[in-house]
Amino acid sequence: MPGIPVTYTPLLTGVRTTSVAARRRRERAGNALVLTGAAVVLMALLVIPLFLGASILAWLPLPDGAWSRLGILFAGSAKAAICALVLAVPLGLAAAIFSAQFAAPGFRNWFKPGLEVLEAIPTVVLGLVAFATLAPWLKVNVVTLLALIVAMPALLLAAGFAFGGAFRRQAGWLPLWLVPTLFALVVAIVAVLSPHQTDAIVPRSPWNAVLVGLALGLAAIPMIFSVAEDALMQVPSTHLQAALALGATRWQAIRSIVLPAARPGLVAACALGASRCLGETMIVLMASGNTPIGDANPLAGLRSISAELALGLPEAAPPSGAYRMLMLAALVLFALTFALNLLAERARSHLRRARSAALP
Amino acid sequence: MATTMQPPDIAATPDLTAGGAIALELRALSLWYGPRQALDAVSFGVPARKITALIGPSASGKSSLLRCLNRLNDELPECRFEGEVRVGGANLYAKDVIVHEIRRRIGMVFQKPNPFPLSVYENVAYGLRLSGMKARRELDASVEAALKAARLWDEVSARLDDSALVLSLGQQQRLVIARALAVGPEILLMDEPASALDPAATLRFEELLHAPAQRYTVLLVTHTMQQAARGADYTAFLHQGRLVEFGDTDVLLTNPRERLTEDYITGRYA
Repeated sequence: MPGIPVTYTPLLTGVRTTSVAARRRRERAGNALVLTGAAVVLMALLVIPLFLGASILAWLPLPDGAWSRLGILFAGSAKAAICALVLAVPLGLAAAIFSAQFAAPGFRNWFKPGLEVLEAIPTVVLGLVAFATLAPWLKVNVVTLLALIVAMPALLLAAGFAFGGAFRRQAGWLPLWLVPTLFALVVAIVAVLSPHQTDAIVPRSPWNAVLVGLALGLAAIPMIFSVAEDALMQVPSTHLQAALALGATRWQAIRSIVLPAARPGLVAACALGASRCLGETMIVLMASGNTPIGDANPLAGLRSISAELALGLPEAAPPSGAYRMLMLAALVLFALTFALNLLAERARSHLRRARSAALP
Repeated sequence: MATTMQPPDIAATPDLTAGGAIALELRALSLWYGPRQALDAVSFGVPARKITALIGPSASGKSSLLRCLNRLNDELPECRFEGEVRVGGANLYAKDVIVHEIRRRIGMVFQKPNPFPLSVYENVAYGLRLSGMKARRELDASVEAALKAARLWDEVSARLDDSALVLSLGQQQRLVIARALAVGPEILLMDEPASALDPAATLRFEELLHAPAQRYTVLLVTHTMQQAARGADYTAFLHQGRLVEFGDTDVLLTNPRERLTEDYITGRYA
């Protein structure tokens, strides 16, 4: 065709070679950026324990009673964490099993993100609620709380036996129907019991481990739920189907196949929850009373490592014994949470390996 | 759950395939996944103690049909169902049918081999343990018998405690067949069980198919006409959720009544 100019792209001339060079430069810049990022993170990770260690070692020996105080603080942290985990582990795992195995897709679609958003609640708000609202109530309502803990699962089980068939058909959305029921139950139990047992069990302190456990447990539930739910969702649905096709009931299939297959992830969820509870500061600071007593009674106060750091550091000058004591406490806390996170990460990578091995 | 409450219908039938030429009878079976219709008024009878092949293009509803017959579709919340399935003369979807009991008697083998992440032994023993078998000697005997029936015993007898996931694909497929056979089902539903196998493994699998046919009623979904021709006594052709034709395999494959069937089996189907 005349009139249309024909141009040829030069194949082996300048255009192509410069673009290769530019691409190589960009490649290198990208590599350098990523490497720097990794190196800085790694360095930060190493510097923290090194710094803490150096702060302690430089001025040996530690003041008298440092180790016994550390023991009390550790016991306080452990007591708070155990109280919180007693609440958070069963609830978090149960919610995860429900969401992954029973929930209708429409329910799960907002339930999971909704629960995960809870993690964004500032812990100072939870601490405030515990301090201002829950503490005065708990002071006179320990028996009511115990009654609630016993009565709610018992009543739910009884309702399950009584209306089992109707529940099963609606299982995917059941929690939504249960919320008003549970709420009514709580109100009824509180209304009946509250006025009658002012003196039955009086907590040693209005700010105690049970109170901390309630608030801290609430803070830990989203993480435990989220990690456990992911692990459960990773179990191939073909396992469940095969078990059902062999004549397993839903629960038999979940207990015998799904839960064992997800076990590393469930362990990771609990370890991360424990790490979170040990490291959490604000709730403990506000709701624990901060009394350094080595008392195993959950209704007595406590002082945790994290709270000791927050409270003690402004008053401790760097070379003093008190300062070194705090650094030691920080190192212990760091080591504990680091070990728990490492355990969780190893469990999860084990799960990932098992999953990729299972794919044909 | 009160397992002592016997459903009068199916559980009272001692043998699901006894007393008649028809083991499974589908009556105007329609199925929806949400708004999408997967099956449209499918009616035919699956002859007892024979192999029946279910052929048809992809998404013609073959797997959906299979999953209706052991009520695995019950597990899907968005699944809706009309019509009737009769097993041994009794309604499979009757209210008082204990679903997990009936699934033990109507076994299923899936398209992809899906062994549990357990040992070879525990995979085969899984269904037996569910049905309450505990004595080690009994379990050993049943596991061995099932593995022998699935032609896998010679290859795995020395490593029963190894993970099932290290077996080859063909071995895994025979393992899940052994797992299904172990609980002694009376009817076997197989969903393209040879699709993951290489030709040699497929042949070995087809040999195996003929052995249990002497005892079991088999309904086999397959992609390949050759497999239907070699293995099946009867064939049903499904197209877009409708049953186009059902009959003796030799007749259906050589002299089909319907134009659609002819197009499909001669490869003119687009």
